[in-house]
Amino acid sequence: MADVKKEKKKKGLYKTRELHVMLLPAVIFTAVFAYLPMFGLIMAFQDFKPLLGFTKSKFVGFDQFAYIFTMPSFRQAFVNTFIIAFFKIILSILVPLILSLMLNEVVKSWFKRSVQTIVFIPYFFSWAILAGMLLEIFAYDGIINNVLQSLFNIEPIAFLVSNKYFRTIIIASDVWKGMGYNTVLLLAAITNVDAALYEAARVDGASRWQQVLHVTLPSILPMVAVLTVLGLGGILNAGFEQILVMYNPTVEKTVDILDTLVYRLGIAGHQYSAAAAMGLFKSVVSLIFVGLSYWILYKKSDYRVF
Amino acid sequence: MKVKRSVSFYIYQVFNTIVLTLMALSCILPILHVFAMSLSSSSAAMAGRVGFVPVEFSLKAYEYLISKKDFFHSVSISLARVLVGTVFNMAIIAITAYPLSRSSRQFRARTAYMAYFAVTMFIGGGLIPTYMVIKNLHLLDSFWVLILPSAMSIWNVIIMMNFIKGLPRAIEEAAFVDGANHWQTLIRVILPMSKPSLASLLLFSMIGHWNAWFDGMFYMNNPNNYPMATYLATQVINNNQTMTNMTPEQLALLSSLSEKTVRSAQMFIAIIPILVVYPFLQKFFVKGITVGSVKE
Amino acid sequence: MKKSTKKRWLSALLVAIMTAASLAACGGEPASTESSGAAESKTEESSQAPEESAPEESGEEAGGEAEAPAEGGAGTAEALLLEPYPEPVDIHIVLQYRESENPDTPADVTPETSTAVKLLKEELNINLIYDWIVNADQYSQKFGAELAAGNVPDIVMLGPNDFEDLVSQGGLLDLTEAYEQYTCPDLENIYNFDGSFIDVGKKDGKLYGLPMGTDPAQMTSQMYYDMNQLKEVGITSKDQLPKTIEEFEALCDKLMEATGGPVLPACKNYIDAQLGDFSPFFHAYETWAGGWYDNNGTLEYAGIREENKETLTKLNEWYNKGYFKKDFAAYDIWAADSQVVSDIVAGKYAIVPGSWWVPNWPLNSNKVEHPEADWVVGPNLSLDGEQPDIMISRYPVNNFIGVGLNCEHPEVIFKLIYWSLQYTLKNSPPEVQNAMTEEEKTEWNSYVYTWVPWRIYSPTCLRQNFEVINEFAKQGKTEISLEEAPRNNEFWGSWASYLNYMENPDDGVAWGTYFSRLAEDGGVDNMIKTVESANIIYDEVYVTTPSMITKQGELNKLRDNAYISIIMGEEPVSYFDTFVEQWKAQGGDDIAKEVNEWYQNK
Repeated sequence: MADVKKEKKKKGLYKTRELHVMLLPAVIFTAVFAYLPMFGLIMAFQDFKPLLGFTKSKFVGFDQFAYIFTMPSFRQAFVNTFIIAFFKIILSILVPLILSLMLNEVVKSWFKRSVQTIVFIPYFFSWAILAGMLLEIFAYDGIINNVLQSLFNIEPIAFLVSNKYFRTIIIASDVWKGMGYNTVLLLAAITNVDAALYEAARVDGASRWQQVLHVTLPSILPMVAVLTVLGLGGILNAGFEQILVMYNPTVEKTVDILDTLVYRLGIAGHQYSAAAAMGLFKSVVSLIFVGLSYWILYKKSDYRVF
Repeated sequence: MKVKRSVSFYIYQVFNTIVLTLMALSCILPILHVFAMSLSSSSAAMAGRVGFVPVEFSLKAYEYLISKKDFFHSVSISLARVLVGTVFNMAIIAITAYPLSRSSRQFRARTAYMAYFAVTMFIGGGLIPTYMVIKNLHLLDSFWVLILPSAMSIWNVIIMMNFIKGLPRAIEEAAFVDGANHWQTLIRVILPMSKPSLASLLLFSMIGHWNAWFDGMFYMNNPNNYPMATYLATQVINNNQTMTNMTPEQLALLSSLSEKTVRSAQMFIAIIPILVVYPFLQKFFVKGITVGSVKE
Repeated sequence: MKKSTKKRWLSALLVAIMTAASLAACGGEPASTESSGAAESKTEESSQAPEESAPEESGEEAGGEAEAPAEGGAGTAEALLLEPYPEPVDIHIVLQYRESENPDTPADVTPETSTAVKLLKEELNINLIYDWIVNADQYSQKFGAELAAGNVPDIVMLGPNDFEDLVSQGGLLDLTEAYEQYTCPDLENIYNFDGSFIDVGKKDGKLYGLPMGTDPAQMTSQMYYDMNQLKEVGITSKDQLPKTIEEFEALCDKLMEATGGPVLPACKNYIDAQLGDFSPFFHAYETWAGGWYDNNGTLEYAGIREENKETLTKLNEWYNKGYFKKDFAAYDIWAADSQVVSDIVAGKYAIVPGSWWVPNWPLNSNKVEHPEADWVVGPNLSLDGEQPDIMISRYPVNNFIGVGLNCEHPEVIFKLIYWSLQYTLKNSPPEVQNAMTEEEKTEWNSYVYTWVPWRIYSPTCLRQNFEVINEFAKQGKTEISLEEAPRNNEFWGSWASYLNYMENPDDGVAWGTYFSRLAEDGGVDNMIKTVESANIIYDEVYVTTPSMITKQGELNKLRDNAYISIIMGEEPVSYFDTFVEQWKAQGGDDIAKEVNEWYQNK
């Protein structure tokens, strides 16, 4: 009874008409620039010829999907995509998490601020620019090999053409580039943790480490969860731009991904339909992943991403 | 407040400082390298003799850049884009995040709206269909093509929405009791309290517009309309003297050869505005960005 | 030989800039020309050297009269070509470009307002309309998107795949009739230099595009040696340079000892980069990494021949010895800031394999930085010291120029190309350049304003100019008349570079253009000698079959990856057999079937 009353009172206060009006611009923009182009996904079920257009191109059902799934390089690219994306997702949360916890322990605020500022810098650079530098650094006669040789007396390694190391380099450099962003996000969450909780823990005699474990981590868990869920949406996005500018034939076995494959398809013969089919496939997979993780999170711990 | 500090605490602090310093170095050295490169002679740059200090100091690359009028033209387009684009972004973020931050009990349609927006984060129509839509809207080659398609960023809306959710309810409820409508609440109560979040999003939006290059290239029909990022992306500097008497192969080759120093100078100039603005807005970050929230 | 995608892109772009290049050619200092007797034009015999050009003599006549169109015989193709349209004709074109690198370019001049466009309107009543202009990198995407939106430009330049694709969709006009009516010797020189080149643009007997190609000889590779560096390992004269693989290996070993290596530039695009690639070594073994050759009437793919194993084994041996950078496969020679190129310029290599143009770039930059460098071309390597068999394309075509289906004037393409050629020839000679105002000169040298989707490059011009200019040089000429000059767009540029080199023999840049094109034993000279002395095996396939469109790209990748795995020792040489099987199964057999069908019915 009381609930109903409360509900009514709220309703009285909340004239939702205004809310709908507020949402109108966003709804329109989304409809025009996001939903309208989705009609183009029809291409995935056609043998799309630009000059014939959507209406006159032949419908081929799932032939395009069959075509891409049977492509010899598809399986390899699919596996690579999965592996690279998986590690990128995990590490691009884990590394910033550790970084932000460490930053949180820093006493001198100027140092904390400077580090925070500086680790953000690579985020601003494009891959085209960074790739050149990274290739230089990891070259056979590059800095890394020099350091390894002089410090640990290790024979130079041809990192750039090594199927053993190159995937790791791809993952690590991506994590490095993006770590500033997530670090700032997580640090924000850490700073927002209620100081009273720490006080209580201290009263209970918790060490600093225990405070981190029992206060800080649980408090920022929602944020970590959200980042994970959103990351999983990109499970088939292993970083097209980066790999395109960094890879070479020798390491293709380990770093060729779906996007680079589609890119080659497209360039080779304007295979719009095959590319669209691949895009749709990727969308479906990521929706499933996001949906699942969102649902699990919601059921298990009541967290909501959106 | 004096806290007891053990030896292990100091050891940890030292360790902490070292690791963080290394991390920071790994991020700042590339910039120094680019900067040093832009101030070195081109032969030193080619031979790979430039580390973090300019070798054979030279301002040639910058002189060359300054002599190029179209570079500054593109900068002016970029500035306009950042200005107008950011206004659009921020306005839409504010009026969209507010309704979505209402609980679904208060605003039943919220869930539907949210789903409507969220789907677009994961499904897209692809490049060519988008192009056709934009062409049919007669936006090609127009300044607005840099603004409108990216006006609504669901990711930023979510950040803002979660921030609003985290605000104390009491104040806005007081506003309602005083008879304020949603617009008034948003403008007089919510926005002033959301400064940190707005500042962070402002920065992201500015950076986004400043760095975006692909739309300029793809939707503009004339290089005169390129914003700076696009201009830089298309820049390949050729060696002037040898451009005479080229045959196909040589031209092709030369066009892929760029003057390392000039490219470095451009990269550096492109990043300056961000480096200038960023530290000022950075202090808001810590408070401003919240993602995700506990169930209402 | 199918060129890599990247290569094709580059050629596509460069086609766009072609005109520009030739125009720019004479922008350089046309040196002092007044020295010797100016009017010594008695020796006219050697001027026109139309080796393979059509027998029709009308071209000769039209040559002199280019500026006075009305005077040509009323019925001739030349007269028709220069006849203005009675009503204005709008021609929509699109452009891929590279940024103009001339900072003095007048800011208010854009492609639409350039002099050439104005003159086209005045002289031919053609309104050239640029629908869009995009950076070369994004051209393919933009073109695809515009195509999907139903727009085909009136004049369009297409790579072989796109050409095939567009023809199959009915996107291009049939040019057969217009061709018959409008072609003339000057034009034949560009797209039909040997009398049958034009067939490449035909489908089912109808002409859909004008093929833009190069001289097949341009695909040969040479060995460049820096004699200055080689002194240190005891080589003091050219005849000590290696002829056989064995001698070459001995030289490399010595260099390895002296420098510690690497001693040979190598790159990701090792198959056909034309600079720092392995094709001279493949050729030395009479093996080829690709191409379809005629084996008793059947076309076979050279990239899967058993013989390639031997080459790969040797390359693997060299890799292990450290001749190449250990991670050479990571470096793209075409990339901006290419490390390989930087190393060559910095003088890290005494041996550089590459095409005829290599002295023009990047060896010229090396000579600017290291004036003591003394580059020469050595003998082509082989097993026995004799010139090995080489493979070159029957018709190396980079692009086609077609007319879009919405255009009402299929003949306009001939008019535009012809007009561009006349315009270039008229304005290129040193005297004309000297007479230009500062402003005109600046515009002339600002390549962007002449970027149009057609080119006027004659595939035979390298040989022609080499012969003609050396003949002039023998006669001691420093000034020539319009009539003496061959009618190709590159001539005046080459001539200027000859004068420039005579004036500044110590300048690295002047040396580069001269040594590549004109010097005895230089790039072009050796290129000609190679194709004239070698037994030539042709890559017969110059069409794109349906399977090629979808599969060729991945098959090339497969080959590149297999080869490089073997060279770098990731896989044993026996892996070659696995590769061959995969190649056949993944579409190689399909393509073989299609090209043979085509070959039999050709």
